[in-house]
Amino acid sequence: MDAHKRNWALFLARCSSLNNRPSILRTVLGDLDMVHLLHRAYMLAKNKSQIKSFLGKIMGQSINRQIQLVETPTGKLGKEHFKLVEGTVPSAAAGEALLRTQYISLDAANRAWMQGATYRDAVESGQVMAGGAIAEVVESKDPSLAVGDLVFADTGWQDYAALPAKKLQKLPNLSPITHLLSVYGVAGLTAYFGLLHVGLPKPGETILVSAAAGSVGSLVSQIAKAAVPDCKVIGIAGSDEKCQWIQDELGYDAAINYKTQPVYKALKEVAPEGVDVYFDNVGGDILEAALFRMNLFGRIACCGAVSQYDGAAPTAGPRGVPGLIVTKRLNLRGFIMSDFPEHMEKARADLQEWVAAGKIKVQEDIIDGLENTPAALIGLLAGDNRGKRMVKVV
Amino acid sequence: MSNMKSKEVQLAARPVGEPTLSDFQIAETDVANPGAGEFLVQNLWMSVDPYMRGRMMDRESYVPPFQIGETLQGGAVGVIIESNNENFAKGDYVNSMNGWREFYVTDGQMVNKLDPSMGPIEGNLGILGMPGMTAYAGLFKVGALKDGENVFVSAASGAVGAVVCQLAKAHGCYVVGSAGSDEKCKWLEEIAGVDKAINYKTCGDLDAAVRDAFPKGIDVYFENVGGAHLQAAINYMNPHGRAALCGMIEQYNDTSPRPGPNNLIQIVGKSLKLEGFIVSNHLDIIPEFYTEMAKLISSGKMKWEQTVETGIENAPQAFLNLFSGANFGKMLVKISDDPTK
Repeated sequence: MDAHKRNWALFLARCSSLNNRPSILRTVLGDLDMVHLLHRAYMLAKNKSQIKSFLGKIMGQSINRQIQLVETPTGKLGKEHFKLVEGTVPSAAAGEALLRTQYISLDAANRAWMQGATYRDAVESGQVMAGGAIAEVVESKDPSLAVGDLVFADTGWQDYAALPAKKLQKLPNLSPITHLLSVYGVAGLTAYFGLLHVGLPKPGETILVSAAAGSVGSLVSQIAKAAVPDCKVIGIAGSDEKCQWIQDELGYDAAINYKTQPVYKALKEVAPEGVDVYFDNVGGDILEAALFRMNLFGRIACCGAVSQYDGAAPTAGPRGVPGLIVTKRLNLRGFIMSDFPEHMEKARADLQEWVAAGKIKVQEDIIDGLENTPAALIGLLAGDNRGKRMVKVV
Repeated sequence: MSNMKSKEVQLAARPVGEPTLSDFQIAETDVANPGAGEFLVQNLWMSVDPYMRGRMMDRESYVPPFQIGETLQGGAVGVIIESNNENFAKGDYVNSMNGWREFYVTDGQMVNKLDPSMGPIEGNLGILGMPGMTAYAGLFKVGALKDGENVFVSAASGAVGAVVCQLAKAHGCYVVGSAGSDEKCKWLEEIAGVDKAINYKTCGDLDAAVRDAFPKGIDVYFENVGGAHLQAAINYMNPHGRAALCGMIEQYNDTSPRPGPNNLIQIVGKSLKLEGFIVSNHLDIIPEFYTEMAKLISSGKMKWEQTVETGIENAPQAFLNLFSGANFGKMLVKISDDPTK
């Protein structure tokens, strides 16, 4: 075999991870006409990944594309922190199911997982990037799951994952299934519990929401209007266009563009009565401005700190901690949706009722293709998304 | 009575930064004769407390600011020396917010009769008074303390902190307190019975000291100081940990708010709760507070220290001493001997 053909054979073998299967590799290398044919097809093809996929299929297996974290970012997250690798599809062991990833949920928290252990272990470099997704069971070795079942699982950013059945959360088959990631998923339940169980708003109170056009923020205002009589809801977002949109579409009574207005002053104008509940998705300077405008006994639902995730730790925290917390007797409470298992059923029922009644308009921002997941997360951290962002994998 | 004079301490100027003696002035006023339904009280003890610094600033807080040229206010216990009120008799001991003066006339509104059998009368300004109740409310109402948890207390030998430490110990907790001298730390470990005391002035890296003191993490942090203590506590708090934010003595004299901890992001990741409180929002605790304290005091499980300055003229100095940490335990001013004894 000439060196040229040998190189192509090795290249193609690598493309389909045949190097993990020596017997198949020998077959390819033994059939030089086949290698030559594939070489030509590859050179002519516009979509190289189709050829790789084809190669995988004729060898009787699929490719599992996965996006790994190359190194733990210390500053701003970039595409260079990820790489796409292709491997073989795992197989399910006893008690496990093999899952085909359908829609990957993108959340600011994905970035926080790279910073160290939180409510879950940190994602380390060299690992598949973690991420929750809606997935379909394609093979089951556990009696609780059947092929075709839809589950929510931490598949990570990959086409296939084999996971223990007890780590999978079976999902109802409702349409569109993307709602299972937005309004009925983490975003909707986070908005619901954060506002109603941590923020504890009373009728007529003033509610402030940061990242108001985001996946959670886009639901907080609508839940507030559905559940809290006479409340006033103020949103903070990062562009005039978003500020307009959240008032037109999401029920916000007023909006502040934090990039063009000093938040403290703007808050004083739109809410001279002060703020009773602050739903904090961002932390940092906006938290500081809110602290200075909170009313006595105000509640701050600490849902996220997106301003703090993407970069090194800030040198200083917000002024007014602990001073204003003491003098105003504020309550700052962090939470995640799984802190409220006893209220989960009611939350889901309420959300479905409000969606059915048209009180909640679900905002989804769907990006196509697994390979675009890193860019989609980077964009989300920069505030590009409107509503719940997710990646359609198949 | 008409020729009686009362010496009183007034605010002469609003302190900027650390207060000085020149921010205070002593005035003498005539003591009026009590009218119908009124009575005359001679103060015996008065309290100086860190929160008073906040009232010296012209800003909105949980109590209105002191006015320049007016007599200051604060907790005081006294004895009734003349009464025209059927509910208050001559010789009764009373608690009021009419401190910083020798005598006052009142109709009894906002004045509470005291039970001298509970212990030394000045205890009503400390262990059995506002500081003790603050400790109790913060630990149980705000901190939602469960028996056997891990508790960190800053300013642990102070009027509030010392009660927090001993209440938590009485509930089977692992307790670590921080204080600013070896003498205070020794008292905490040997007398108050905490598991470990940290001298934050000599320990070097406070964060590492807190980490090493809490191999099982912190469930409840009782915050009295602010700054590096809060930062360290947040770093080592367990998931669903609670911080009862009671004060920030380190920062009362700041002329502008200083930056807070830079690790607040952990509030989200660990589902922490940080709650500010003052005792007057939790007065429902009073019956259970007295019950528990009586039990602990009588069984010798509640110890306290106090530092006493004598004479109303020395009240400003007593107040200033709070910020240098010169006091040990509750800082009190003894205004007069008990004229009824």
